Amino acid sequence: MNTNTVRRPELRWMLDDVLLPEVRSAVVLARDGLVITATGEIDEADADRFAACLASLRAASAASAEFCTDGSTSESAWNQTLVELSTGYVFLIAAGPHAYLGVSTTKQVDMGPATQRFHAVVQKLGAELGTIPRSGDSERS
Amino acid sequence: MGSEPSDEVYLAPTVRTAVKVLVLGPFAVGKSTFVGTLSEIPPLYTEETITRTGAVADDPHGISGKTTTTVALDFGRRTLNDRLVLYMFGTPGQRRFLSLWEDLAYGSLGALVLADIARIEESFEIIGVLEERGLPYAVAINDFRNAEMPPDEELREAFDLLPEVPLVTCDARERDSAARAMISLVEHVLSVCPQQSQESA
Repeated sequence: MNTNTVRRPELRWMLDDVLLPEVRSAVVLARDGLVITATGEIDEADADRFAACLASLRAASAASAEFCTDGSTSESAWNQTLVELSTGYVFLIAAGPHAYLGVSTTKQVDMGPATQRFHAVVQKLGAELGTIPRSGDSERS
Repeated sequence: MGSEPSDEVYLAPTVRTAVKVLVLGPFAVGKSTFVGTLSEIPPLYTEETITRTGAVADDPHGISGKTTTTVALDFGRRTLNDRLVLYMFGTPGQRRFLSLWEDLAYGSLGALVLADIARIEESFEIIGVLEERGLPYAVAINDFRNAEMPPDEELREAFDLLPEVPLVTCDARERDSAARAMISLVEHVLSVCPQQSQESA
């Protein structure tokens, strides 16, 4: 049986640079919505739920591209999603073709430097994840 | 991380194989209930109140008490044994959500189609999409009204199912019953991909 994304806790160090004092937790998820790695601030069950939630956010965000186009719709138009809550922010950023970085922060976060930092992490992640052979990446779904 | 990991909620370190499955079905068939019943972690729901506009678009067919509907996904996790953990993604059943559905379906190995015996025809579109994709699926009739069931053969004919597609009846509110329905899907997925199952075993 073809299987899905395997957790890779050994990649957690790559999230070290994300951990600003205002960051609550961060998770790297694969396109199938399953966790690749997560920071220690979030337990395994919540990381799974956060990843599923982010996958759904990404699906809806990518689908919105249809209504933000000059006619030539492309799903790859999506780069990032920012959610503002009364309790903070959730960043969702593409990290290579098959992975995303989700970061939850407090309201006090300084958006500019934080965004810059997350994008730097995403660059590294993209390079690292691009070399990982993934199963469950079949074309059938 | 928690201090005292309980077997119920935390993944055992032996868990190696993650399997993503979809829980699909028409509006108000019981997908959220099913995922909630089976999940060992608090399920993730994305429910919104049905508005007046929605009430026209999504006729609950007299299903009383239906005031909310899933707009993004239901998510739950179930460890089946030491080696196999199921990640269940339930997606909205209405046609207008199809573009979301396509994205959330990415990487799934199979789908459980929940069906309502009184609205069999509403499952056809979903089954059609699954067959187009070649995604293995099983059909589970959610018999929450305890309806009288026609014989199996008649039902299979009504759903126009191929002989190998499992057809079961379940009660989405009952954990054992929901688990049996899910296991029928997992067994079916294993049987259609026997070579790969040996590789990962």
